[in-house]
Amino acid sequence: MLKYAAKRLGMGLVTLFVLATATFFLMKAIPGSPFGAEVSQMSAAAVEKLYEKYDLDKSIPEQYVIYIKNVLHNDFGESMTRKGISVNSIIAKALPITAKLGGVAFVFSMVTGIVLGIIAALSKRQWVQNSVMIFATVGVSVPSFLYALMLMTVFGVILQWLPFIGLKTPLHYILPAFSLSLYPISMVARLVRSSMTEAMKQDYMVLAKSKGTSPIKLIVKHALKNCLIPVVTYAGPLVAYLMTGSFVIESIFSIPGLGGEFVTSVTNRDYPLIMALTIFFGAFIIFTNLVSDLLTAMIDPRIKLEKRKAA
Amino acid sequence: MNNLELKDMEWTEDLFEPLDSSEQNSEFIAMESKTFLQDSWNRFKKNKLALVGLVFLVLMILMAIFVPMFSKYSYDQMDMTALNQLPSAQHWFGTDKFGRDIFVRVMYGARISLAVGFSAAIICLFIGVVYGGISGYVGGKVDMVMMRIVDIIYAIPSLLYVIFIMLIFGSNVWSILMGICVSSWVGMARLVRSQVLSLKEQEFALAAYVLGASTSRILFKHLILNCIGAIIVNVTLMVPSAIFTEAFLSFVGIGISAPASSWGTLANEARGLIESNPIQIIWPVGAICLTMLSLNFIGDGVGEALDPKKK
Amino acid sequence: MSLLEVNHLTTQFTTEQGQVQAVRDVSFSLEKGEILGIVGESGSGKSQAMYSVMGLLASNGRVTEGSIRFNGTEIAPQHFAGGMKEYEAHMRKIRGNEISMIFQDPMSFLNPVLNIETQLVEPLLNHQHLSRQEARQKAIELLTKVGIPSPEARLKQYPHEFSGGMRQRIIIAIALACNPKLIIADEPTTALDVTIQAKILQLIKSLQEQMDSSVILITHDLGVVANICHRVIILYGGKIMESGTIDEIFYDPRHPYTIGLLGCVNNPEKDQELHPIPGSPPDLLQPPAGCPFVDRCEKAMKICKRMPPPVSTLSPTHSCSCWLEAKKEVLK
Repeated sequence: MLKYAAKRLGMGLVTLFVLATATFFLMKAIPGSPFGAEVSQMSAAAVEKLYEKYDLDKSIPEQYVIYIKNVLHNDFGESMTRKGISVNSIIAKALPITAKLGGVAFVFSMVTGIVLGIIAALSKRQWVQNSVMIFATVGVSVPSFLYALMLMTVFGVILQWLPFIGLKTPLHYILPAFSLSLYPISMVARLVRSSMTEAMKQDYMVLAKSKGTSPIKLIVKHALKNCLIPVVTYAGPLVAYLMTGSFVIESIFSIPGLGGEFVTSVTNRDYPLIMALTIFFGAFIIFTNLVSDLLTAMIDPRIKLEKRKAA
Repeated sequence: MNNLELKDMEWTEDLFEPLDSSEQNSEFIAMESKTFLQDSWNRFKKNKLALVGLVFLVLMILMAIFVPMFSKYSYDQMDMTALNQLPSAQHWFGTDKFGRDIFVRVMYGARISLAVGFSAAIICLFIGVVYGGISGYVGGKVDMVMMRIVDIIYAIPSLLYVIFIMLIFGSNVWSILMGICVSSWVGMARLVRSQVLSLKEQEFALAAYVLGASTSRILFKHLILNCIGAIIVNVTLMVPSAIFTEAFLSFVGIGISAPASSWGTLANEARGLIESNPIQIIWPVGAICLTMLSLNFIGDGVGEALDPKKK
Repeated sequence: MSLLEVNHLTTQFTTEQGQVQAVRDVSFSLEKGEILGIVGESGSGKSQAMYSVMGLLASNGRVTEGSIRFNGTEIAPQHFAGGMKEYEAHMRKIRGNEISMIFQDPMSFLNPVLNIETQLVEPLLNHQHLSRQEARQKAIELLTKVGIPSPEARLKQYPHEFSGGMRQRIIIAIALACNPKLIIADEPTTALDVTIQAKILQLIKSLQEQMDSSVILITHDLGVVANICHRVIILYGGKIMESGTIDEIFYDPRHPYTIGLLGCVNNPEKDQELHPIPGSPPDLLQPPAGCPFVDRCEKAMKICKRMPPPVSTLSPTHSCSCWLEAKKEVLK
């Protein structure tokens, strides 16, 4: 287990290095000056100074070495559009906001999704099954900006029950977290339903029943663990979705989070910020995938064996 | 059989004459034999929701092709005398803030959205099947290296690719398509590889090998045909996810930009008018929702129809 | 009083194609300490008849007629006054405790994500007031009993870490946990190597003698039956064709199907040829009006196609459903 974790961690670091390198060269491949129109209005000396500040006067390999060194020292430089503010401090300010919102949405969507999925799989009533499934299908078919706009209009503007600008109080979380969760809830519910239905049909459930095990124990002890395996595997990408996919929700509810920063940095071509965010997102997602893989290996004893064989 | 009945009957020797062998049908065929596709189509037809989805999708495609061709309005033709009109006989869906016909714009948007969705799915299908098929079939070191590459690509959030490619090649349909493809094919490759790996172990692959089938024949005929179900389901899910990605990007204003219109762009344009003229946002968003619903229903229907266990 | 008495048991499955009549009017009884073999081809309804007894039918199957008396108590689901809820509650106390089942495929019947201890102590915790520690001790004893070496160490392992034969032994240990009065073994050796088959059968037989349980052994192999059973029932197309003691079935078979089956048994002493029965079992969606075997029977008569044959009693233990036997009675 430890060896497996170490191997996966090493792999993650390699991935991160490739990502950092690719990001760097892609940035260099973007046509035109990073300062755009700004440069044409400046004096030659000023432009030179500006280039020197961002090491743009050096050759590309040299710039690459400096860049990697800085990255290793966790130094991503200054924002190009917001002068004098370090990229790190921008991320440090926006991260907790996104993390809190994403965390709330993550817990909410996991719990609700699993419960709904189990209900859909086990209910003997056709209408219960159908309504959960229709809800789940609508959930994956409607873009989250639509929920966000609808919820905002109905509960924020018309009824004025809930606040919808920023994230000042816990009440402010309800609308954005809910809009963010509807898609993952539906995904998890569909996943749990199909794996639960599958698990209930397995031979080992018949054996378990033949021991005189109660229906509740059958589900909790025998089926649930099996059906959680795909859910845990999905949890990694789900965290990634909540972190990077929140940009639409953040832009609608005027939340100054990471997603919003990312979109602004792209539209403003703020290269140091783009690079830093890319590497940050990459590192974060590699980490969550690692955690979800380790959790899967803990639930499913067969996985360890396969890896040992493959190694 | 009641013994009274036996007594009541008249028993004659001729009842006990040997049965002519032609009256015995010793072999019967348990189920009418149909080809796999016929059988699947029959099961698909039984799923009403999937059928409705298919009809809607075909209608949408036909309208996307023909409406912009034959309408008297073009998608970018402004009319300052008819701004923000409500739906009428002249303008079925009304006009936007520049007096452009929303019906034509939505149908023109359908072209872009559907084209992005379907081409992304087809490109990913092709790359993923070839890559995953080779990786799983060849195995060993080749598989190791190929899968590590997939791991790296998989670990990076897809949004980053899209945004990078758009920075380099500009905000247009091609960049979005390319960005979606770069990140989405890995899912297909992983799926095909794991299917190929598990099928490779099964008896029929060995049987084909022993019977002298050539390598490529085994790979494509036996293995790929056997996992076609899982592949098709994955493709039907890839179309809506590509449409979603495009809509999100255009909605926050970093996707396809005006005057060209995708559904995301239209929703973004109408967003500013949501309080004064809420009907304008209904058209593009409704188009997205209905198309996504159709695609998801079709996906579920195809998934069920292709599952040979469900007889 | 017999331990188990089954009368006119009929079980149906609802499928998209229609009603499948898996078990049709099956009656038999089982005495204490007896080993009964139920023999039939796949699809003859032998497993479904036993699943009906234990109430383990898939959700689309149900017992439509007949009675099942276990130890003098009626346990057929349709005879329960309180409906399925009462029935399930009652059966939960019986399953794994008084009747237990050994299943066919040791690969798929053990839960892959739970360790052996969890799966083995479950019937003990369900039915006996034991502490975890006591149950664990009992589990170790059980593993020793079924011949698994170093049981303490293996308790914490998962099913995939065992060989097929070992897994089958674990399944047997689970079935034996509460010293059941009746053990139903559903093709316990089919999925195993021939060398292990004999060992598993010996194990079942010796454990049965130790505990003085009754065993119903479901198999498609008459050779297996000859080795350990006292009595045999031959099932075909959901119906009983012939039943009798081992000697009666092997030395005085009456039903053409039984005779055909005996032709398929490899007897090394006689060095005779194997004679497969041509054709395939009947379609139970539209069961034939007469004898289910009529289409494959060499001696088929006109009456066989029209009417199901009555049961002819040949001796107190030997009976047969065939017009060849019934003919002698009715034409008297």
